[in-house]
Amino acid sequence: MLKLENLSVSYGTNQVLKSLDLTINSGEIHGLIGLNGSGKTTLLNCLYGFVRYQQGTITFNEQQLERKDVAFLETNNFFYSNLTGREFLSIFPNPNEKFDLETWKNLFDLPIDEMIEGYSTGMKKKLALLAVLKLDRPIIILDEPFNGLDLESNYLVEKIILMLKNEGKTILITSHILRILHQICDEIHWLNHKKISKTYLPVMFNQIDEEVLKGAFSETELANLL
Amino acid sequence: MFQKQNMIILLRIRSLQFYRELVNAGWWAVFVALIIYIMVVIKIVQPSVALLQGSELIILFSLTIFSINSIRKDKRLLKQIFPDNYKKYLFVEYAIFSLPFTIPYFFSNFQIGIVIFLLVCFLITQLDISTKINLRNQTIILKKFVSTNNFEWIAGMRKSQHLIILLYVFGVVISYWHFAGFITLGVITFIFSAFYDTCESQFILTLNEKSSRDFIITKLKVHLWQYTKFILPFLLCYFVQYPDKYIFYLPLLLVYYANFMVFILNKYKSYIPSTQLHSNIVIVGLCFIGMFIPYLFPISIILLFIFYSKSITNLKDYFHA
Repeated sequence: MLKLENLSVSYGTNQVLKSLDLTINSGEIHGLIGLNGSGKTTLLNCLYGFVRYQQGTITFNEQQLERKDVAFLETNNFFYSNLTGREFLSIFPNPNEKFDLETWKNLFDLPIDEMIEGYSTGMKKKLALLAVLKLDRPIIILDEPFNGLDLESNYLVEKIILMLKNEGKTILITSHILRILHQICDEIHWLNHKKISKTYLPVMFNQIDEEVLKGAFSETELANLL
Repeated sequence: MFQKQNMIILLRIRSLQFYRELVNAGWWAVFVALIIYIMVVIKIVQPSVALLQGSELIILFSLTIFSINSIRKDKRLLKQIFPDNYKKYLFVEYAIFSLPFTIPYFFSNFQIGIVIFLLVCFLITQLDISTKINLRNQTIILKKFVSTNNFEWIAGMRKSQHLIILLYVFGVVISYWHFAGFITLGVITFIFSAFYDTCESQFILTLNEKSSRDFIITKLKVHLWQYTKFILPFLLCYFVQYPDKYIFYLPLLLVYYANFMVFILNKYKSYIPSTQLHSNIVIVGLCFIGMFIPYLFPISIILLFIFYSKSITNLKDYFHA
């Protein structure tokens, strides 16, 4: 079980997260939604240890969370230039003997022996996801995993996430595509006002659109502008 | 009118960018640049007799503009802003920013140089040439020799292997005639500096090691071993043929190793996740001067100690966050 208690994060005087609590059971997929700048990426960065938190605890199975427990798919993935996909993947350790790169390559339709500079956005995303899968860590953080993917790849990634869940992985995912979150998540958390302001269970997912977007902008004002 | 205003705005932005680049580079780099500039101006205003002598700098300037024009990535943006006359904008930009180099020609006896340069600039802007990234999976000749997770060397070798191998063979061939060919190894070491000018993501940085000190020590060990494997045949070649010259080789070898480590440490001293390093050029320049000027010889050894502690301190934030 992944547990965040009383978590507070500030960048200088700007407090981004304040006394945030969140619990995710092993083998569950949790979605994280929030408006731009609400602190989603900060929260994910905290989990991986990219960002120092000033207060609170993060535990996994009642032990202090360590980096080796977490695999992180970032929104904007960085690729060293002049490398092929296969060479990029060789940077990542392979603790799982079951990981068969050739099968994954075919499944993702990825030209892993070509230079990464020639990849499309979707291909790069798939390559970064392969690195995450290769690491085979118990907690998987996916920050906007569907960005740039075509319809078929979207479907494939959805299926992979569900299979990872069945393997007992703890998954935290952010996405602006609510439809997908509805389909795969066990719970969806709304990050607002520096904390999880509401948690939605599957029966409540239909309320999200209305509650989250309510008051975000005025349609009348928008109509006047255009 | 609208286009003219946009042009002025963009030129102002460019000046601001230039100013910020100077600020980022630091006063030391600005000072060195100023000295180089003064030397160039002196060279321009010196009376030249032969036409070739007067035009050599014009050729150099034109080549610089050609390179900048080929690699600049904002052409699509410029085509959107100036759909009809983006080439005109490019020409104006090159002409204005070359003024510090073209004005001194008024005071030289090669004033025609300005006209030639502007003409070349105009022709360059008319050619819609853009450098394409080589997407071919170029085979790395010495790939078996590079460890599979050494991404800096794999990427670097793919980019510069031909030059490196050429210099290596050249150095070995020279060894049959003169022991001073050993200096080629120093030049090859400087090419390695480009292997360490891109910072990996924080995710990759923190994959295996728990602390910044462990990371730096492991990195140095792995890369020094790689470097040693690479230079070993070269060393043997010289040590076997000129065993009595070890007094010449050993201090140089020490400096080469120090330089190599400085390049690695410089990357982590200035590490910012997923970025390209700019400070590398200045450091490489300093080490290069140090190799050729005897009293600057220890510069890389001093930098080594300073950068070692600085890189550990800089990485602490990323490891202990």
